Amino acid sequence: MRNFLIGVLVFWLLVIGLIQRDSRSRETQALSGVGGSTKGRVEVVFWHAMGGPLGTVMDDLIDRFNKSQATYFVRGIPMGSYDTLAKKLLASLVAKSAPDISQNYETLTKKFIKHHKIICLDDLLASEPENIKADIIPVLLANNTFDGRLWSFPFNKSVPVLYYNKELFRQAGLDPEKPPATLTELASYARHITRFFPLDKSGKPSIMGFATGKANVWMFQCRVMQFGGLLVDEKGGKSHFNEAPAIKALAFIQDMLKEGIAVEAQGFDHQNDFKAQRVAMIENSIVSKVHMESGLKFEYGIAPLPGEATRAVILSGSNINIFDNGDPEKVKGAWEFIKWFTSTDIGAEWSVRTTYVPVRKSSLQAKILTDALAKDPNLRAPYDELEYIAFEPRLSCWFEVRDLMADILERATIEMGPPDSYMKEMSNNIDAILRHNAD
Amino acid sequence: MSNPAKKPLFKNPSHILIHTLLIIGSIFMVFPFIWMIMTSFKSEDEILKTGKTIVLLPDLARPSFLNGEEDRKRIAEHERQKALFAVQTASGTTSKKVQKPFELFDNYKEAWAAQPFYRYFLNTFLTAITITTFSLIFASLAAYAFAFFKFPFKDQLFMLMLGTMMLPQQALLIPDYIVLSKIHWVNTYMALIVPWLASAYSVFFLRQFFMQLPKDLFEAAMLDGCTRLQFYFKICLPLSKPPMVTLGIFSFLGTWNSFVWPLIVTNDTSLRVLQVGLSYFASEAGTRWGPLMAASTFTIVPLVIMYFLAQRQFVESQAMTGMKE
Amino acid sequence: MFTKKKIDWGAYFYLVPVFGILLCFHILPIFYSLALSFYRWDLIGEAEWVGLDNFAKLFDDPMFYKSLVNTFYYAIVSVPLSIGCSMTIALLLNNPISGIGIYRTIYFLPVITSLNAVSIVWNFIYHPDYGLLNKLLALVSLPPQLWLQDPFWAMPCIILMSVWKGLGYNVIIFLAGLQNIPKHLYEAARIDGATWIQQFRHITFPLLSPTTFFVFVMSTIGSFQVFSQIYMMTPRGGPLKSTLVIVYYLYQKAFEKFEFGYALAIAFVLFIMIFSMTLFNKLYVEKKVHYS
Repeated sequence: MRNFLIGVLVFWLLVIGLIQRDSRSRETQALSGVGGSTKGRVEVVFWHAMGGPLGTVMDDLIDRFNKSQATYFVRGIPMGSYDTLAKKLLASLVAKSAPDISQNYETLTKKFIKHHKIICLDDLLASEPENIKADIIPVLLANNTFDGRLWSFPFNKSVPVLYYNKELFRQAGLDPEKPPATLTELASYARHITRFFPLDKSGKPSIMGFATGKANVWMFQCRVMQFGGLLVDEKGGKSHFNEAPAIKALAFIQDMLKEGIAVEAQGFDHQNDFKAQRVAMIENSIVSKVHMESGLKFEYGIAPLPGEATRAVILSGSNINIFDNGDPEKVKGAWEFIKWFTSTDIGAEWSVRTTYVPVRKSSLQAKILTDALAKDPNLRAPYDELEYIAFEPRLSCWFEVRDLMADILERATIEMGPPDSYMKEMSNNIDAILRHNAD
Repeated sequence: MSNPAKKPLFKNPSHILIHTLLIIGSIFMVFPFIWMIMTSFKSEDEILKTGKTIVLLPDLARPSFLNGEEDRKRIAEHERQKALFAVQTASGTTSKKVQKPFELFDNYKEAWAAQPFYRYFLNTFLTAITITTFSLIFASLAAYAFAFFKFPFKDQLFMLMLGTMMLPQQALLIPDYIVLSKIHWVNTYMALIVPWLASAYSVFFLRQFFMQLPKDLFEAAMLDGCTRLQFYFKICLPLSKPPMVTLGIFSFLGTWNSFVWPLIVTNDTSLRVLQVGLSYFASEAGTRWGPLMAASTFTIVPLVIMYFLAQRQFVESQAMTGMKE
Repeated sequence: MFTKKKIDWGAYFYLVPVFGILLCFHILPIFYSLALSFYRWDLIGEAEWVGLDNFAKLFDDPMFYKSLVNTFYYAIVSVPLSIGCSMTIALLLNNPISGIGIYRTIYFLPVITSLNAVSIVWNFIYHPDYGLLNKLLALVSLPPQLWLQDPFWAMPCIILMSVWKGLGYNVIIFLAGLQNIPKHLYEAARIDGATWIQQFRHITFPLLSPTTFFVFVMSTIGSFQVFSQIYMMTPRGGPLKSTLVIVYYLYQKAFEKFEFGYALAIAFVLFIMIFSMTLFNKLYVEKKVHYS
């Protein structure tokens, strides 16, 4: 027993020693990129949720910013997921130790505005020599403008696209260069593909035409708009889900599921099924290309989402806030970083490497982007969709509304009842939430 | 049924029954763990293909440092070819036509390289050992008092202590964070360790155990002039090896696997623990199964070793049961 | 046998380390939380006093009642199941058979494995299309089920996985308890001709009761606070909210809907429930426990 305890003590001391040593080597490593010391630099803390391959690009760009100037030092801290980021952000605000910059959704931004936690960017923009606002892609600008003032800056915005398996198209006799352009075409392609391939041993289709995520509120909203409908009014507290386009949108997916030509997948199953070539077409965020492409061992295409009455896609991803921590130097540093990150060439590079939409119109002309598009036509889709992007209503209670929508959508595809009854329920409940939460 | 005499013979009929039952149970217990290890050696293709067939075994004939010179030459040649004909697409990946063949330990290499697991191991060892040692010491002292002494408010204090286990951690996150931030312990080792040096669970557990020790032993010792502390060190503690070992295992394990607390109170990579590191393999756009399983496997290894060694204490102390009265 | 009714004032010193830390880092935040349940707060702005408003809303909240039902379902099934299985396994493992160390390690593996990895594995087992469970059902010609996506099966699936994961813990505790039972009692019983079942009823079970009591109380307290499995396996509370348990509902209210005061009111009610149950256990059930 005594020997065991002594052994534990020795091991414990060893661990402490190793930690000290490791810490020292880390510091030297971190500082080697910026000339050995952060003394004299203003430190800007940046909390983000970019992990995996996206994180690599993010780390690289932060590093280059730090090397490109000697006044500021941006410390990027990845939080693993948006979920964790939001939790920690809230905790840090309560504890009055918020970071200087953070990624954020519009819902949280609205709350921050209301309680004076973030800096209005109009003042920072006003003191810039170049007219940055005029160069920002209009829908992104609108997405970050609240009551006429710019409170956050577009940062990593993405759009959904249609991924399709060109080899399966070819085998089924469809032209791989002509993906479906309308929802009706999508349904008929899905029907054709599902029926073309032989059934498997248990009598189920071996290849499914189309797959989407279960109770995916984001895609549902896209479809409502594609059928020509509206979502929820930002001002006026009224939702439009009880109208014909929304009902058609729900019926569309219900019918495909009933007919057996599409599946709704839990989690990332539809992505995995697409990779395993069990599904011919999926709708998914463009950003998932970065995560999927190493696993895509077949020829695939990326197309803009089909439209119907109109074309529409809904913006996803997050913007960036500068927190008001009472230190104007850090605010300046934060702004310099954001400006650099979204500038014409760097923004274009970020877009090319991560498939996020660039913030500035001038980035669309940047050489790195045009070269990339020439080499890989699969990258075109999000840029083609730029002209008809819309964004979700920005309400403080939006998370709650979304949760409600997900519940009802889930029931709709489990129970398969008449779509108008679900839409009526959704509409009534959302109106009730809106009434309780006057913004 | 045959007479279940507990003779130490392996061929005892009851032992065969016992073995059978245990083996059936073992399969149920261990299958997911085996699947986890198998997955850690599979390439992403194989992991995804697990739709149509049960691909249990990874392709063990794959190139790896275990498979020798031939494989190494093959891979080196492949790398050379790749460098010559690599097609750089815009996002920096090479064309799928010259993708590297998957090596057996690739997931492990990727997992280890993806994050500083060396540091995570150090942090986790530090917190686990510190918390286990001190919480056991503190808890045994408190349990001793609860079991043997009479003092006012004993029951109320005991219930108060139990009460601290009855509010879910999710509700306490923010208030805990506020307390920590007021003493400037956020993002420090102190925040990871100190709050867990008191364990109501351990106190309760040991109190139950101490209450099973015969009261007359205590009375007799007191009459003989033994102080309370002497009784604790000379008689009580030595008799409590099984529960202390048990609690030690639980405490170490609990700290090793704790996730939410370290996630919230630390930001820096240099303070991160293993579980938080593992969670970073799941992102907004899908989970990297291969590396996650590999990381999960090597995260468990110290625990399995520790447990196997610790449970031998059980066997040794089995000989100790039957106290002399 | 006599006992001196002397008060041991020194006892308090023994309690100082534990209670000192509990006070700062557990009791204080608990009181803070309980106080906050009387406010409305979105974590960002100022907290405003609403008195018993949160509690009034709670009593009218159908989703809260659903979460109560789900939690009771979970507790009532998982606790006895867990105790029964782990006691049985501990009895089996308490024999000097060969390879005992390996068996003990195997039965403890689920406990050691991180919840992250375990959830993924069980998600795979429960997968409707290519999960192992449906494949096994197919072998015996039973129809496949949706498991985690089926409102009827989701909770039983979670219960099964939770019992599986927690077995090892209770097995160890029971083993420790079993080893406290003096061997000579069994020998005496054998000499008297008692069967294995009689030995269990008259020796094992009574002398194991302090341990059983401990496991019962801790399992009950734990089962009412179940959260992680739900979060990992059936996010958003499962199909038709069939696995929405109290703590998950609390979590949603706090971190997704920014109703922090309301969430703490839920926590308060949960606390009262658990405390009452434990008090009941201590006052009435503990009477049946056999201490030396």
